[in-house]
Amino acid sequence: MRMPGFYLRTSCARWGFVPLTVFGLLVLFQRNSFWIGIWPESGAAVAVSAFFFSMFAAGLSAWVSGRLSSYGSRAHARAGVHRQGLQESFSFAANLAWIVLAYSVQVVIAAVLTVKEGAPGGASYVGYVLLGLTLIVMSAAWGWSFGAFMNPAFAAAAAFFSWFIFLSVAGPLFDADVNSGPAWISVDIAAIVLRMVIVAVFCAAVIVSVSDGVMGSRLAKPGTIALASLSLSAMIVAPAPLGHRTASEAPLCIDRIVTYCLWPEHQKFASVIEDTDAKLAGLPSVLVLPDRMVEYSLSGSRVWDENGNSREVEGVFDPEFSIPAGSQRAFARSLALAIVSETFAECDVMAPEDPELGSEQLWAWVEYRLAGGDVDYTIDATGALQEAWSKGIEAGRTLNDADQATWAADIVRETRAEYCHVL
Amino acid sequence: MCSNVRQKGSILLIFARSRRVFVLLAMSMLVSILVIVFGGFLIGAPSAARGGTAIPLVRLSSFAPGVLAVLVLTSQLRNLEAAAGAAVRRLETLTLLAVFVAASLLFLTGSVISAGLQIVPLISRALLAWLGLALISGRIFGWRTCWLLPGVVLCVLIYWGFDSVVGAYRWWEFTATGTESVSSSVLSVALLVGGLLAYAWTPWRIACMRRRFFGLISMGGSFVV
Repeated sequence: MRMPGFYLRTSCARWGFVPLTVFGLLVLFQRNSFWIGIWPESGAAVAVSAFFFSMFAAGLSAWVSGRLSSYGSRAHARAGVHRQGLQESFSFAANLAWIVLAYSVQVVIAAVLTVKEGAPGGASYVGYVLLGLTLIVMSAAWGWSFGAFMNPAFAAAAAFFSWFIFLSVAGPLFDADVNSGPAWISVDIAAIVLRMVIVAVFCAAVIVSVSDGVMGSRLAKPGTIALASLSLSAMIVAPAPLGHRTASEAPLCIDRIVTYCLWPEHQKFASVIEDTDAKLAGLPSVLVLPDRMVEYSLSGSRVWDENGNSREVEGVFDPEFSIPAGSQRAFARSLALAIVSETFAECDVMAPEDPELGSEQLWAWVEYRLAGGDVDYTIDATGALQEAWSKGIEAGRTLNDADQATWAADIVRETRAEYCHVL
Repeated sequence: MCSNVRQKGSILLIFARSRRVFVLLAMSMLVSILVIVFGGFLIGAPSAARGGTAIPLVRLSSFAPGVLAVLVLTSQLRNLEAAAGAAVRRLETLTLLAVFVAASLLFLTGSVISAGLQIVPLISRALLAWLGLALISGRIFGWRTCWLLPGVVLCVLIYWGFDSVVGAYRWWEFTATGTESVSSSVLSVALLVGGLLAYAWTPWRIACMRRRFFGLISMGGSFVV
């Protein structure tokens, strides 16, 4: 027990603990905060810090490992009482422990903040955290090998840069570039455990090859390269840990004027949905409301294969809404589209096009009403579409409620009469 | 005179070997090859911007030449070499400059092959800024750790460099904003000047200044370059 403690106390990686922790906290909090209270998003936020940690883990490990070479610690270890492989393992583990400790701070803080909300989906949080941990351990072993085999003067810089290139080019192949954790993405814990085993083999290969007492020095470098290449290839071809989730059997449904079903992990967004739904009461009765709406990917209208390609499914499905980052405006837009589609549901899609784009005006107006008519409400479209949306928003801004109802009724009537060709 | 030049040349060669200049140039060549192969690759890195960002690898890997050049200043015999004073200092400066120019030219060649001629002004500006950062980092943390500050800045550029609300890169994203962006250009020049000042800020100069400003007669202790 004394030996690991000694290595932990004397590892130069301890100097990286505070800067890494501070940087990780900045990465975690200097972005939007909607992830708080949603387990998969919290896990992804932590995994994002792991992406950056891994680059410094590579550089820091190479630096620590290089110091062992330049100060002759490895040569001393050969003459020591303990086996060199054991000492090398302790040095590496101590180095890794300091980096993982800095990562753990993010993990604990994100978990504490999210657990208060009481949302389901904690397993996905664990999955993302382990995904990040895998990346950090792998990069530390990568850096360690650079420090052992390269000139200590260049080792850290070379490890940092090479890991950055590797991560940039090959990272997406093994889901290292996590940016967010949507509820419709599943995290396969078994696939992550498999990756952890591969990374453990990679670490063992590095330690064994670095230790001259375990493997002949002539075989060390080719051995490391062969084993490392094999492990890296295995990492890339191993089953992907992230994939599309099948529609939840028990979505969280909210019965208001319309029934909304969302991913259970998004229960935090219920208040936004309820607020927006309350505004439906103020819309004129000429508009037809959908009975039920479901969150993105819950309707079952699309299926995904294992490569992430989607395919439309034949049939009638509930309209979907999206509520990214709990945005009321995005939700209002989806809801407005569903209302306009429902209002003109019986129209022939081959009907002549309305030069005034009345349905687009109506969509923009409904969206504006449901979003609460923000003062900085801006739209971004081109040509005639921009003009149509501007008219819709202008109606919402300038007319009183009674006039707006008349304006909307006129558009519905005219569109149905002239540009609809009711089926 | 001819033998004098030859002698100077051989001293430079010996010094270059002692600072592993040829290894650094080989690494620069490798970086250039990587840029040719993967330069156009879009990095799908995490970003604070909504939806993430896609950054061409060539832009961000431009930090390599500056760091590689500053690694020339690493020496295990630093204290011993300090005894040679200004002579070694001149050699160091010359080697630093030569490696930076060579590594930059190699990198620019790779960039042009992978992304076209139009990227030259942008990359050139970024190369100067990265060199400045590497020099500052080397002076603060030690020349061997000159990658640290550029590494931190690299992460900052990746993560916070794009403003999704405005839909544009932030003014300080000197690897992305066009050369018409005055603020980015000023920042790049400031970083370079800061780096050169950090390089010039040698321990003996600090001591001299301290003595001059505080009227200290004795410097107390030995100084290393």
